[in-house]
Amino acid sequence: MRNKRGIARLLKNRKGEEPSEEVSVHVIFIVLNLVFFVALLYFVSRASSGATILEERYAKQVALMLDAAKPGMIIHFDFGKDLEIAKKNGVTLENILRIDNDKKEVIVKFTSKGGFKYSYFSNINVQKEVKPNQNRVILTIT
Amino acid sequence: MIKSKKGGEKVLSIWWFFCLAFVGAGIIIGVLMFYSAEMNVNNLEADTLANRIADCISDNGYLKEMQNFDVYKECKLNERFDETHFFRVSFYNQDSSQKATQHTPQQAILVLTSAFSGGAPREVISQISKPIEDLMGKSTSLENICKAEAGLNKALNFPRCIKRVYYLHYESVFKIEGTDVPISDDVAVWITAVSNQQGERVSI
Repeated sequence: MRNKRGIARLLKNRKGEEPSEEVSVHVIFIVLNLVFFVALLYFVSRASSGATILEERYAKQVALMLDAAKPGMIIHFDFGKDLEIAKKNGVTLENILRIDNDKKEVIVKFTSKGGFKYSYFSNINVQKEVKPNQNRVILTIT
Repeated sequence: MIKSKKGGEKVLSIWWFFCLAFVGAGIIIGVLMFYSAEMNVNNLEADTLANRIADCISDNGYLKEMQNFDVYKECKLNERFDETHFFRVSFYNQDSSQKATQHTPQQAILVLTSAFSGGAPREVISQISKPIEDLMGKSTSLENICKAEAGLNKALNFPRCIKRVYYLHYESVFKIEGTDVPISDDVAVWITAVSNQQGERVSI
């Protein structure tokens, strides 16, 4: 209640009339500043969690893991919260990660338009298994 | 805030919004530059390649037999990636001054003196002094770029090169006229690994 009274008092001038021009200017100034900083934060957060960046990052991560992997290894790959970004873009867990054993390529896609491709140099075969209830992909090296 | 002619505070100053725009543009440009910069993992890739080769040419700290050694098969490397990857494995004496031979000179002298009292035949000497051949990939041009890169302070879009030295024990059996003469020594194994893979966006 006190707050409401305080704001009302602020918006009215000393004589209890409608908000003065000076107060309106202050309010507009604060609102514009807030809009500016919120827009800036939104832009930065969107840029840092962009799907294209995730695609490149995961493709290179998986390829590096496969380069270092040896037959008999089992790799559990958890996409964590990034899975939500893929789902928003209409990509399911089964389609996020593709491994081409013939071309020795890893393709990661977080958008329906395309993905990022990166090759691994080790001559291994990879079997992919998806565990949708655990949000993870299991890679078995043979 | 700037005072108006009447002495009041002029809050919505054009200069304030100019400052905001300037700061905003700076942050946007910085973020775009940061996230559009390539995530280069070529160093890590070259490092992994060097480790993989070191792992497959050695066995518990001992150098494997290098005669007829198929590095692609033994190290499970894919030959398709010779365009983007390169490696060279060189074998040197322990002090790294000379190429390691199948049998080091000191051992050769011991072997020769024990086996031949009147001087060793030429073919035996050539066999002993034969250096262990380098194991290497096909794209030697990548290695040349690495040499050029070494002279530059900063090179963009150049392959990343890694050099590693491993010391391994070497044991072999030298056959002279049906007699097995066991010999052993330490060798310095120089591994150069290069990666120049960029990756690409695909539409699927």
